[in-house]
Amino acid sequence: MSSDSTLPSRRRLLVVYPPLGNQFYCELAMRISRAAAALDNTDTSLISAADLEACDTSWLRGTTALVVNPVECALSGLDVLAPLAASSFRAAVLAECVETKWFRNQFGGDIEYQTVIDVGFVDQGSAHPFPKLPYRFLFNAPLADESAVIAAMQPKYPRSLTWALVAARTDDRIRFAAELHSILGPEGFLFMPDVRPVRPGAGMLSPSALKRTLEKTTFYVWRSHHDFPYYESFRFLDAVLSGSIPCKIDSQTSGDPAGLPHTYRSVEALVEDVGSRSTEDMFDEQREFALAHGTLDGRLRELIRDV
Amino acid sequence: MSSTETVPAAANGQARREHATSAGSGEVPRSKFHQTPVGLTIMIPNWNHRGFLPRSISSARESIASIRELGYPGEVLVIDDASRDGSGRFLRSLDGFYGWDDVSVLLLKENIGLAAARNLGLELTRFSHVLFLDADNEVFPSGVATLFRAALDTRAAYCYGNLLDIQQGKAVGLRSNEAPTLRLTAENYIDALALVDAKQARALGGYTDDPRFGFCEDWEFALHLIAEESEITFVPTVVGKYHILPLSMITESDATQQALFTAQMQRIYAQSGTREWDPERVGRVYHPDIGFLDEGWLLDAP
Repeated sequence: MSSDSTLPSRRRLLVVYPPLGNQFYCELAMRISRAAAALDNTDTSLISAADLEACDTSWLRGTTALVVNPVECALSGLDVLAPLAASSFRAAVLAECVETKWFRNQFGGDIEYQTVIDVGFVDQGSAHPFPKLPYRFLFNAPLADESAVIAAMQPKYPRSLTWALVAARTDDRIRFAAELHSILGPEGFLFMPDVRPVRPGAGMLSPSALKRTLEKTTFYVWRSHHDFPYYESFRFLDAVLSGSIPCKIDSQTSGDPAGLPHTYRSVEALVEDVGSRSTEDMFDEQREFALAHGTLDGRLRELIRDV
Repeated sequence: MSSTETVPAAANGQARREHATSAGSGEVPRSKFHQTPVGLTIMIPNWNHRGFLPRSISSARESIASIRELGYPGEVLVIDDASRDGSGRFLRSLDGFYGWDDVSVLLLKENIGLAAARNLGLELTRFSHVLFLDADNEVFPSGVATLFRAALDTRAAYCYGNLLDIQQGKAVGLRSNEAPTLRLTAENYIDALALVDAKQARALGGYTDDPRFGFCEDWEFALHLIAEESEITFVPTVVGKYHILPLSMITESDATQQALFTAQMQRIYAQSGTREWDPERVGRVYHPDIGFLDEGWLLDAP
């Protein structure tokens, strides 16, 4: 029988989510946690930022903490993340455009991070604004079980809803909605409330409601709420997992260096593409992209090995 | 198309038929206690909006055609509230030229106000549901059909959906764009362009013509429905266009007056400090192709 000293030490991974923030970040934390559950030799815990104060400091010592959106975690209290000072390694986990204020504002708190993990489709390391803070890119691939679902999908088109636009109301998006209605057609789904956190009881769509919507939708269209080049990888995954076609409209897009499918300069360009091939072909293209980059589990394994 | 002239009875504010002319299929009898088959009346109250009537009536007729494609009857009912801009003559000439069988016109000899005109529509509708369309706005057929299907599915008293604000031909805003929450007691973000279950609306007394509510009778109506625990549902589709004009009602009421109305409304309806609105009836989001969309949170929480 081996003594304890001969056993390989197990890594303790703590994924911290913001309980009062946008539901999107809870979803991100859950995905990271599910991906981490497949890691070898690792014990993973998913914990609310509000519950950190109840954690034993000696237990926190030696953990690797992955803090999803520190700013939203702080909605539970400005010093809610303070117990994490005892952890051996801290990473801020974000899914933001690094050039926006929403990214920069993440690092104003008292807790120091050893790295930032950017979850997305395009490596933003060259635009990362904090040179002293190591940047790590985590490709937002599907989870292993999601990959199996995507591989087996055989969606049929057209669906009852031609398009869906789900976003907070802005002047740009209002014009965008009018364009979609007049160019793509009136059979659309428009959910564009005033900006506020997507939380239960706030009159917003739950993740499962969005999924049910996209299962009836042919084109899931969106555009960024800022002017920086960025691709919202979670919208892609929401669409592909529902058999919908994710369509990013970006008037400043210049070419397609990352091979991202269905990125258009305008709604007219989308219509032109739709007219040139079948919707089934469009889905096959995005399926190929989704499955060509491994799984989130595998990507996280590579990243964790380095930290 | 049938054209009818009425005057409001002084005693109770209700309209009675005094004179009727018919160029089409003739006047269809309407009675306060009529049986109402499932169907839709798009009611256009008009007061001095002659220039916009062709647009609103045309969009309403196209929308009624979409209702008929669903297998339900429908009609357009224009109630002219004693306009002085020649609307009456214009509506009569439409009757003479076209004789549409899906459009009825009532020409009031005395002005009764917007709330009373809408209530008249609720009273005179031949069908189960009424969609109120201001004469300067327009509706999209697919949006109206989606609203109607949602109303039938949910049996809600009040269904509404997104309206694009249009100014000088461009989309500049969005209204009626989200589910009713307690914020509705502080500001009105739901326009009067909505589809109403006529029976439920009549049972609650319809729109108030209390002058203390001025331009806010539609706001009061929505809050009244909620207070009476009627179901009110947001349908996430594009229903129509709200045309912003120099003389739109929004700009008619000045800020001071608006603040007074808001204070009045909050005094009556913002009594929810001790309890939230019933989520089974208020804050509902429904699309007929999908189902209810305000559910699913508990399962999603980590």
